[in-house]
Amino acid sequence: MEQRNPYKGAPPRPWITVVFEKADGSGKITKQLIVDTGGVAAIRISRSLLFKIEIRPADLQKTNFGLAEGSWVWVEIPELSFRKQMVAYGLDRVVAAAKASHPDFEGSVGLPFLREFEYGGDENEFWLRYGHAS
Amino acid sequence: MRASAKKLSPRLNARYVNNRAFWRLKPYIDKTYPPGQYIGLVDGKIVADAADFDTLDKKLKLIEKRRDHSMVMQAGVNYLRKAIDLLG
Repeated sequence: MEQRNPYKGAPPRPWITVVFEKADGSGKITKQLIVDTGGVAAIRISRSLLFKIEIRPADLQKTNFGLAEGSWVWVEIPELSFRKQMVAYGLDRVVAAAKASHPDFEGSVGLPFLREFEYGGDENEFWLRYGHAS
Repeated sequence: MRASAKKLSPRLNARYVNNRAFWRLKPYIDKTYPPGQYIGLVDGKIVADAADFDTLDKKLKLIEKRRDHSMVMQAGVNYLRKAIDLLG
């Protein structure tokens, strides 16, 4: 099971599509997030999005982009059969930086997120794999 | 992390209270609970724990209706109080 995406933006970025579950159970929200392999947070998204999907508050982080509020959220990648509660952080300036590369980008995923998967890339594409091959 | 002198919203103030308490209690939490245990705080106090998130969430709903006054963290996890983002 694999999600494979061609690099996108200026400069070109690896990215993935993830699905968040709304906290009120009214549906799901699909977003494209930049892959930042050196990122220290699992997920960085806008505060407005975080409020829609927050299950429970988590910690606060002081960052070079300002205060990041952490919240537990449901994250899914349906084609990989991945679904898990994770801590996402609301940090609008990271979203602005991501959008400067391409307007489709709504934040980033970092190493704590990527450690759930196998991932890699070549000259043209980035891929994410999940599940243990037998 | 300290709240600044300016007046905070009740929601953010509750988050600061729980966040400060979590960091104060973290050595106790990591010594007392098994790694990965979910710990629930409300108004700066540990009020519940569970081996999985959903069980703790159900407990917290019975204890405190205001979700913003609660906080969930895991024992034994290395959280960052300060972080540098390089994306840009």
